[in-house]
Amino acid sequence: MNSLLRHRVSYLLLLPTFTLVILFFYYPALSGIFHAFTTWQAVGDSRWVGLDNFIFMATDPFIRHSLYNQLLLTLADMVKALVPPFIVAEMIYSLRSERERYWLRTLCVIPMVAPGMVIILMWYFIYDPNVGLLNQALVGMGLEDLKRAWLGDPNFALGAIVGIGFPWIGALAFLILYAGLNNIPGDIVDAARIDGASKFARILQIDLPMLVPQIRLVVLLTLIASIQDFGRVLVMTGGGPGYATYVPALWMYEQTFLMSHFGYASAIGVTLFLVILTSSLIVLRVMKGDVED
Amino acid sequence: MSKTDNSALSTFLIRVILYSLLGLSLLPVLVMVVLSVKSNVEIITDFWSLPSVIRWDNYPGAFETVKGSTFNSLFVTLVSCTGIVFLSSLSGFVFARHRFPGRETLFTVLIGLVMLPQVLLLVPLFVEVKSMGIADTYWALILPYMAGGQIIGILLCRGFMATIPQALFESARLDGASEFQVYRHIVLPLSLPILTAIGIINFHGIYNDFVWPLMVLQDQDLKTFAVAIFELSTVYRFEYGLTFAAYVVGSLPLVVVLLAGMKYFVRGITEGGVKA
Repeated sequence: MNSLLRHRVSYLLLLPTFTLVILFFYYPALSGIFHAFTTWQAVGDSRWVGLDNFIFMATDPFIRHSLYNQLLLTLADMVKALVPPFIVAEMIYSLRSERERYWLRTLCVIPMVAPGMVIILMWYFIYDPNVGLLNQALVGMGLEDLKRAWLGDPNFALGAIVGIGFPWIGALAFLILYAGLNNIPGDIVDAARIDGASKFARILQIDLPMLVPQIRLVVLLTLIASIQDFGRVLVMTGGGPGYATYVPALWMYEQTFLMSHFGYASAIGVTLFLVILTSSLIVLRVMKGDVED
Repeated sequence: MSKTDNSALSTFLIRVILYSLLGLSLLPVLVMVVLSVKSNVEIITDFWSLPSVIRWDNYPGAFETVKGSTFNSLFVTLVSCTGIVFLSSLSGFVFARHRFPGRETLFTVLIGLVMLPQVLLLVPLFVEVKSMGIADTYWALILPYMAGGQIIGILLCRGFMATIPQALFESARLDGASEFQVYRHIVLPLSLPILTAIGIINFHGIYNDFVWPLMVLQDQDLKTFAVAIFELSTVYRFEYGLTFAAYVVGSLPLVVVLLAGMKYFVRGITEGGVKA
């Protein structure tokens, strides 16, 4: 009896957590998966239509263009999340003074104190055709010919979105990789130094293999964020000009918010979920944590 | 050239590159601050010059423009973070220190949720919030934020609280402490560092959220800062000085909280990264 009472307390204490999770995770997730096969709309009954929504996706030009854009954006996001933070982490790691390393690490994290929307809108301003920083700088350097409406030009708009945040020292990726570097056992690094390994040889043969778990984490986080985050596109270009910067999640948002095609939007959501799930599993399979190798 | 000269030179080069890169990444923030104290005429005619006099004129108007939305963001973020920290500590404690049938199953079922991406939930949650009648209230933000933020929090708290020595609990129970007293006087104080980290990381995420508040809040008086400045940027298109001053004003809560809690923020991410 006593133990039953004890258990009842445990379940009772977990009740708030599970109530929230059922209401705002399990129920909507199941609802979304179910309704992906229906004509769910703001008014009227939703009718079961089998795979129709998915078949329609295959012919939807917005989906076709946006998948291509998404692929390019995700590849760019991956390079941006891995290369500059890794280089900066290695450079800071190579400095002797403990104090300077601490100060530089802090400096890398400082940009995070500005709200994300402020940064995006600052980049919107940087690309402004009339008073924007980029065109002003080009004029200042006598490169007037290169001036353009960066976000209004279908050939440059996607590139301009990739450019946001240059030089792309993402604080999150940097912190993860830098922590990994500092966690490499000192004797391994010393052994390499005694063997006379050059800096680059050490980076290739020790640091990179030892950082596999951290790199994998950054790849996974970037993959998930890149496919879901359509906020930057919504703010910068709204998907345009034409189809030039549409991404699937933005199209899903518009189908939901502007057109109330909840069934079709759910089908896009389920598809993106499956894309994220499959590619995450592939990343986990390819980048196994074989640190010993 | 001797080997030491060589490494002194490369250290010097590394410093030059590092400081220029970091300077470049801070440039948009610096431009924002500088332009916020220039007049509109100065910005358009004389873009590159530093302001001849620092004009605070933009600030009263900017403050009026975003004080409401900044308050909304701050309020929603603080309430959500308090809820997240409370639920993380409570459920983390139960999972770490209670023995009961189904514990591991429940824990797996809960943590497995991190696999469900926002993109799957966005549409059905939008419809659900509307049909629950909480669209256009703070609850439409607070409840989903709490539901989502607590998951990683519980994971972190469980790991942390499992390391609290069992002897502390036993002696408290011998003294006749109730379950609540154990939680309140042993678990909470000892978990303060991890709880602070959870609070600050969620503060950053929630204060920055844009798409969800854009979708569920139409009432002008409830809009959050991110949504308000997004809409402002289309209305006050050519009021540059005012706009940048508004950005600065609305950034302040995040700046203050993150600078004050930087240690915990960095440690939270760093430890997560090393355990990867």
